Amino acid sequence: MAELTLRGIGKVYNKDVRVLSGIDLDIKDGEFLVLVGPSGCGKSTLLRMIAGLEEITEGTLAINGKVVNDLPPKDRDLAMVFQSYALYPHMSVRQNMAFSLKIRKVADDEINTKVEEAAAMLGLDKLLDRLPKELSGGQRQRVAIGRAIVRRPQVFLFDEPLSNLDANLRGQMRVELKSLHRTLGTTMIYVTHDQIEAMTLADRICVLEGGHARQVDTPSGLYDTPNSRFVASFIGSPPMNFLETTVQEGSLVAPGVNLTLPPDVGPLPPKVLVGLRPHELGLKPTDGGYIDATVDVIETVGWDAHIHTKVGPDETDVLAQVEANLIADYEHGSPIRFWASDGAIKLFDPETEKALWPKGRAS
Amino acid sequence: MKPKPVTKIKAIPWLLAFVALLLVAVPASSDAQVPIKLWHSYRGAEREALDRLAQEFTKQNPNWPVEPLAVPYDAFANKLTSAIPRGHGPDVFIAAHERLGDWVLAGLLAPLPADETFDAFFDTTVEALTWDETKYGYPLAFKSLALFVRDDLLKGNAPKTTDELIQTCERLAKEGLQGKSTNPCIAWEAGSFYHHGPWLFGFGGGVFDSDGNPVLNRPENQDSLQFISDLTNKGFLPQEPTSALVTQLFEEGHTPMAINGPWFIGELSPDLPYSVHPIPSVSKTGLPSTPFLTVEGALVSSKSNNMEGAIKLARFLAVEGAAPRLSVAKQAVAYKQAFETAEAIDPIVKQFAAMVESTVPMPNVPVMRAVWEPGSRALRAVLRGATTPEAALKSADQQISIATRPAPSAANPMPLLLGLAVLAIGALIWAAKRMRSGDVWMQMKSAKHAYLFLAPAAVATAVLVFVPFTVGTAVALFSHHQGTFTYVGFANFINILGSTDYSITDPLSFWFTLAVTIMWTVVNVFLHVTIGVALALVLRHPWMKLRGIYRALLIVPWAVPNYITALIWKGMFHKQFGAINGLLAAIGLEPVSWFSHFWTSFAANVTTNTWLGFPFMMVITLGALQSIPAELEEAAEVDGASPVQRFFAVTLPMLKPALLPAVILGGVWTFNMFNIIFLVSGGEPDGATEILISEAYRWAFTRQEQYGYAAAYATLIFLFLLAWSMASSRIQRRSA
Repeated sequence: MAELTLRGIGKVYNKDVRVLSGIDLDIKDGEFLVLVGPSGCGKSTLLRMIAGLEEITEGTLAINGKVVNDLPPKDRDLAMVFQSYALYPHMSVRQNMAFSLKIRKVADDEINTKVEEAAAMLGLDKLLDRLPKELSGGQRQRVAIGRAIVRRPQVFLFDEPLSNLDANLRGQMRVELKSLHRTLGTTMIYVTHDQIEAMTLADRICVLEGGHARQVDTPSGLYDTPNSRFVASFIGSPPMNFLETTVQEGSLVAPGVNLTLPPDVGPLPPKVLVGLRPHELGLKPTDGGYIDATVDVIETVGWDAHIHTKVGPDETDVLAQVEANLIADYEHGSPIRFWASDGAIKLFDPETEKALWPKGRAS
Repeated sequence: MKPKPVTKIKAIPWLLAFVALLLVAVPASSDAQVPIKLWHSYRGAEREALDRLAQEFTKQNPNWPVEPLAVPYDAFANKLTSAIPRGHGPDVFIAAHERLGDWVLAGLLAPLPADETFDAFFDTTVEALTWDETKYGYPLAFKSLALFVRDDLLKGNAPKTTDELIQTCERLAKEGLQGKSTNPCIAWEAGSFYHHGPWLFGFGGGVFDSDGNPVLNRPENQDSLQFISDLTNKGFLPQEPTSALVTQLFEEGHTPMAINGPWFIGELSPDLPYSVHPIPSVSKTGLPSTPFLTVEGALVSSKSNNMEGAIKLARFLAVEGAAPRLSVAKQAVAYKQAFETAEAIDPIVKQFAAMVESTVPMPNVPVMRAVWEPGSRALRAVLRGATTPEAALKSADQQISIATRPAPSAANPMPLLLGLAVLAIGALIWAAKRMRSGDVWMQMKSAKHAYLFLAPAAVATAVLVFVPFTVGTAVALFSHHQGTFTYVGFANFINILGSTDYSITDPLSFWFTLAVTIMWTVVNVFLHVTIGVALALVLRHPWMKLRGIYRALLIVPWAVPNYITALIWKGMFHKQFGAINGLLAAIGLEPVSWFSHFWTSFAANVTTNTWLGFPFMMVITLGALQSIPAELEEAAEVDGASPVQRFFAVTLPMLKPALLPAVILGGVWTFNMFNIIFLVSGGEPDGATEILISEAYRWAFTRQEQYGYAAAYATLIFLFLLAWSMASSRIQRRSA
């Protein structure tokens, strides 16, 4: 059982450098929570504060109801997997995994059992006597995870563990991590800057920006009902397009743009920021409205084509994702008309950048 | 009208005239002018006076211009013995008389005409420069010892006998001096055999027996040792009296009496109120306490190509030059008349002159030089109460006999030369084979520019490293005696390794010294690493805000030249006046006689060297610590390791690659750390704390220049360290 409660967590260095403020988070037992955000948003710092490697300047951290702000890492019953794996270079795989148990003076045969169990789970049984420098990146990552598993902690902490792996391996490891979570059922807190990892692995995601938690929601919640322009553009790849439009009797208009305003939207300011994801722009006419653009660059990615275009006199960038075979006749400079999928648009306030429609749960 | 090309034509006659002038002038000067090279080691006022005399002589004898050359004192004797036989030496040189015998036997000196000139000098000074009834030098000046008395502090007459001396000291002890009743009342370098001379002769003893052999162990000499031991035990004489201490005690008025030579004048403030008296005679025997006399003479080289001019110059310096040297340079000149004709005569110098006839010239026989070190050792042993006078003198005699033992018999160099020839031929054949195999030659040809770039460095390394090394090793196969080298094969090595002169447990034996050296190295390196690593760990913590300052302070021991450090620590370990004993006394502990026992003396050396050595380890460790990823230690922290467990499980194994070479280097440097051993403990007690390198030094420079023996020592040190380096590089490779 491991529930974590973060209330008002903040971090200040040297009295003048503020890295985190006002983080409130409730992490349920067995949940896979991902902390995601751009570089410098404070996600690693937050993770390290949970681990006990950084001091908590403001707020309280409680594990199972007990405040642990002043508890050293070894007493918090957590295990951490580092980005660079942090394997002890002079110890074999077996010794690396056994280290924490040896420290706690566990009996030798029990250590062996646990190590072999974890090794079997991760496919490391044949590598137990190798040194870290004799392993590949993926194998090292598994050893790092194995080292954490062996202790059966109440919380796993992952600090960008897949960042150092190549794309294929990353995909593979993602799947393995997901099934590991299913097998072990332990609470896992995972930090990454890659929103694809976040979307695929998480039960819930906490999006951080500039030291603040912007939105905490399930992946689909964040995808379908982002509460701000930032979250909307951060989640989803390729990122969402934004266009400044004026509200005009059931339509959202701008030079070269005429989009249908969905019904029951509620009161809106005169100017509204429209958000449309690239795959929500197609070439077949719809009831959602259109956007006239000029083709800039076309990237063909296998089945799909990414069409980079410019819209309006301001030459706003708009990216659309359509099937490759549909754009054979288009080239740089060709005019093109996109039709927005029905009801797909999202509306944001141009000044506060907060979501106006659709609204999800309070974040 | 066109200008004539003047330059070209007119130049030629001028050129011809110039050449003609040269041809005439140069031979003319080279025929008539024969310069006289004059070597000396004077400084300051003495040097000025000498230069002026040289100019005066040149004015009077324009065909014989004098070229004075100042040579540093320490190198002087060695330079003479090496330069004169090869013809690059001086014509005339000024030196002390103690090596006269050596030089005469080595054929370096020209005998001087035995005329009535010598009657004009003090008899004892002439005696000093005589060998086998032939005169070899004109006496210039002399030095001996006298009793210096602070007139403002000692009321009443200066003591004339040892009984009076003791009475004066007892009185001062009761009354107290400057409010302190614990001050010594008389100070001199009691550990120096030269300074002990007055007491030696005052008690009726001496150095040589009737056959001219050095025999120190006799009842009269024992009495003299007992005398100074008693003075020290009563507190009348300070403990461990160094020259600096004597000067300080007398100058600052802690001690109203001192025994020293005329050079003492230069070390005291000019307005200090003191006077000079004869050293108190010994009441027990009634004999005067005659100090050793050192005479500086002008000697003539036997290889001079201007014998007539050289002798004239030497005589000039001694006779006509006496008055200026007396008044300007304040030398105690040997020319009697100068004391009547010179203008300003320092009264102290006059007093020394008055005592000159009651001195004993230091024996100028070669064997005398082997007496100083053992004699001084015996004094120091008795002064610290480690042994009886009889035992100390017996040991001194034994050391003298070893130092003056005959050289090993000459061996036949043929076997070795044959062996080397075979090796050389073998090497050439091997090299030729490798070159022939095409590859090597092609490689070398294609890389010939690289070899050109390497050439300067290779030449420098060869000249500065390989050549001295080879020569040094070769010298180990020879024995050096009074200037000649004799090939003796491996006799030196057999002597050293077989410990033929000393038992293995004697401090002067190679094996004992080797054991001490190994222990010295291990203890030091262990302490350096432990303290260096500990401090590096402390300094890397982010909460130490004054990190920069701490780092600078800790590097200071490293930055200060280590001989200064050594001397400061030596002063701190002084038994009576040192800071360490002062600290111990302040907290109620007994002061320790640091240099009287092996372990305390060893500890003093180790303390000094550790203070010097740990910054190096600390800096290496600090650097290595930066390279350990922080995540590794964090992982260990999260895994549950305490700081100590983290250090041994994670940090230390990662420091090993950096520390291992540092330890190897540190080991080699410590093994050869001459400065600390020589300057701090000086090998005390009785040479027990000497390490191999300082022993080698003593064999070469204080025991009759046994260069071959010392070179053998040095070669053994090299072999030992070579084995050590090979073993440790194997360990390094295995752990990498």
